[in-house]
Amino acid sequence: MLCFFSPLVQLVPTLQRGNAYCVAPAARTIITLILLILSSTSIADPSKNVILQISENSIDKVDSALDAALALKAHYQTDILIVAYGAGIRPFHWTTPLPIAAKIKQARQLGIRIAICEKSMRQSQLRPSDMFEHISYVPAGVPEIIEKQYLGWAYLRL
Amino acid sequence: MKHLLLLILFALSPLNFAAEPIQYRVLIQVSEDSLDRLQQALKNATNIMANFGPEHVEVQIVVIGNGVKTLQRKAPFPVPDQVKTLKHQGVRIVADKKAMQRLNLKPADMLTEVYYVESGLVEIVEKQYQGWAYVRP
Repeated sequence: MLCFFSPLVQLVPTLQRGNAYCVAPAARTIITLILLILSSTSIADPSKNVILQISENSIDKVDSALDAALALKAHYQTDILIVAYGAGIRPFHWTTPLPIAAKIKQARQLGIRIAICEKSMRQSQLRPSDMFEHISYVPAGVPEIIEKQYLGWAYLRL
Repeated sequence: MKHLLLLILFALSPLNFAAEPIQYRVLIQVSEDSLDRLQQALKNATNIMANFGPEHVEVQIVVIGNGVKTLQRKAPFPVPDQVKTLKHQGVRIVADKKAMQRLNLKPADMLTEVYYVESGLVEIVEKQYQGWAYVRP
């Protein structure tokens, strides 16, 4: 469905701009209506971003969150952000098990962002040099999640 | 006078029919193989229905990952009854087909009240884009 509709949706501005003056008004209305219906049923929406939360020191949780992020990235091709805070930053220590490290690397290569809360880092007395190298940082985790939800991101905690 | 009254009644009738909109839509997630978590979610659903009034709220419980194990036919005593009661109250309980495949569970192994979706994750994300509130007990 996604592959079928997305080229049509991309056509919307082109059609309306280019052919607005050479198509009969009735035909124009019909075209607009069809395109409206198509765009409302299509799921290829660039604003469909997802934020995932990790707040527990659990390798299983991180593993399933990474799996979810990879699956959602394949489904939506939009921004996926994983935010880790509190005890949830521990699994991103450099001593993290090899399969998790490989999955983090894979997620990074696909454009999934992993953000660690700097506040939790200070509380746990950890430095970026203690952490896995393929991650980024945000000043605070919870406000990041709140702000993203206000921006319309979907929120997921596994 | 009688005609006028009838006219007024006639004019107001569509308003009366439209006066029961669903104001709240709540999605509850269960993602762990834990009966406590499932029962917590079921209790939350009951309380949400009671709080907003069943005609104003739509509640759906999405069970993903290892959580689908809790909805098996062989679930211990209070669970099947609670699930049945909730279904009668209008709560949809939805299980993730992908997780079921991974755990070798078939619809025949599950409680008969359960509905299915292809991907629980996509269901949760889509419902949020449609304006549903998201609760994870």
